[in-house]
Amino acid sequence: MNSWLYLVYFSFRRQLRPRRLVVAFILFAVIALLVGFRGFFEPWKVKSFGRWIIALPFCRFFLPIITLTLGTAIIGDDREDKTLVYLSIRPISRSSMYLAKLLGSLPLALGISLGAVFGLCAVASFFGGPPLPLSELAWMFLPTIACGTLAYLAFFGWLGAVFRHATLIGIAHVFLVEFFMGQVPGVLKRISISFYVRCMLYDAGGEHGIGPRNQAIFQPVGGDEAAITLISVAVGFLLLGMYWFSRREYRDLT
Amino acid sequence: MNPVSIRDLAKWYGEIAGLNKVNLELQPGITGLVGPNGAGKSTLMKILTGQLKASYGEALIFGKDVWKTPAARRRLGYSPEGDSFYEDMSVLAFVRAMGRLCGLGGSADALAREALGKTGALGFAGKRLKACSKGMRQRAKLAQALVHKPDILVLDEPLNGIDATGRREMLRLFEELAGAGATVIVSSHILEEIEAVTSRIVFLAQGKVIASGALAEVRGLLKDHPLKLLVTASDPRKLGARLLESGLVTGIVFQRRAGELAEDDLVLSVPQVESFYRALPGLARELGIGIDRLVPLDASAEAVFGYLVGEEMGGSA
Repeated sequence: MNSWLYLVYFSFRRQLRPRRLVVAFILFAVIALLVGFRGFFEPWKVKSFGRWIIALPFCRFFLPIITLTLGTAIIGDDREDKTLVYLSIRPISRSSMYLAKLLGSLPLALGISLGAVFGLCAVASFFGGPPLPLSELAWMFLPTIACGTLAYLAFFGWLGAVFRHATLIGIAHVFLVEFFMGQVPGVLKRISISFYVRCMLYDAGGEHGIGPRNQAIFQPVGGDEAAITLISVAVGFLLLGMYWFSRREYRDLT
Repeated sequence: MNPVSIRDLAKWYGEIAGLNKVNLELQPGITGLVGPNGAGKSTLMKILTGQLKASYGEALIFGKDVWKTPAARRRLGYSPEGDSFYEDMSVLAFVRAMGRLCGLGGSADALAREALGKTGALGFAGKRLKACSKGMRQRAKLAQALVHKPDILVLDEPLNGIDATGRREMLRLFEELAGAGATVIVSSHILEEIEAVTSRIVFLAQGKVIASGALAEVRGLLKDHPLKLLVTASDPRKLGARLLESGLVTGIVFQRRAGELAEDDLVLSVPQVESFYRALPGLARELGIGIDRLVPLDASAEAVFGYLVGEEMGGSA
């Protein structure tokens, strides 16, 4: 147990690489500039802020990209640096090693995504809108972003364990499935994680008018259903990753 | 119970056999793993350390299958051949972290310093791994294998990149560890160095154990390759004639002694080494010949390995 707990901590420390944080900061700064620029001329309303900032660039770009960076690095970093050997010879089973590494990434992923949402809400509030207390505004989005982060991280973690070039595959997934397919009318969009993230968001912000532009085309599921789906996706891909990793030999992973 | 038991172990990479029905029982002490590239040394070590799964058979550490029982790896230290590290960590932080991953708690720091001291790496403990020379990195790698005081040490080419003085220190360390009861398994392509610390050698070729045991025993089994002995004697011709007559040697070559114009040494082909050694003093006494030097020319691990591989390939080396 000692060694497993240390691996969680060790994985967390390994994720705190400056280049990764710089990527997150740059992406955040771009969206924050957008929020500030628009807010400078016209204060944000809850509806427009939710729809044009949180639902669009944040949920469908920032969140997948950040979790992609962190998720694929869970195994990918050790694979790339060929340091997986030092972990695979320790008295820790493969499946719990995978779990520890994913848990080690979780605080940073949640910290960045929730912190960024809070930051964007703060920037919008700084320029005189939306007309809600900052805490209330942020709280509206935080459960959605937390569930989305869990689902994306588990998915990209699994992708990173299975594929050698997971980052490229992940980027293709973000643009084709999460971004492009998310626009397609009909049920096909339901294979994307971003669909359920938006459903949760629309459910949480419904009373403030945050919702899809065309309800009939988007056909959202309920907020609870979306939350359960996102949690199930997170747990499902975590278990899949643990199982897959436990069956792999070191040579398959390098 | 032997620390390491390998039974009918086989490893297949598709249709290529990396290991083929390997059986070994290793006891405390140093065992050298010797073989050319592709012989299966690294595959054997990786199965033994739980990185690869055996296709058939089992590799047991104190009776436990190391692939199925991760806890068994606590008794195992492994120094890989590859030169990969967590480059941004300091040597001490790396070794300490590896100790913590083996379950060491608050004692990890002290044990890491102890391991670094043993491998001669304490002097650069604070240096980042990316700034370390190959030799320093090799010592750091060894230290992480030692930090949790394992019962079994598996060292894949541990002397690569270490200078001659360092190698002697490392070999002394292996001897100390073995003397303290550890089972040390060392692979190296520098056979003389392995030979210097152990006579127990496992010869591998094409995924099979072609011989194992004490070097002298293995050499003695090579009946098709009589031992070549260099003899410096006061009357080499007289001694040579008598030895041939007695049937103790099957061939003699006279070899001009270095720096001498008329003095020869004898190079004898000896099929039965023990009988020869028993009979030689009596013969020399009987002939009144003094023997100054008696040197086996092809009893080294390298020579034995050459013969073994030659036989394995179906020819004679």
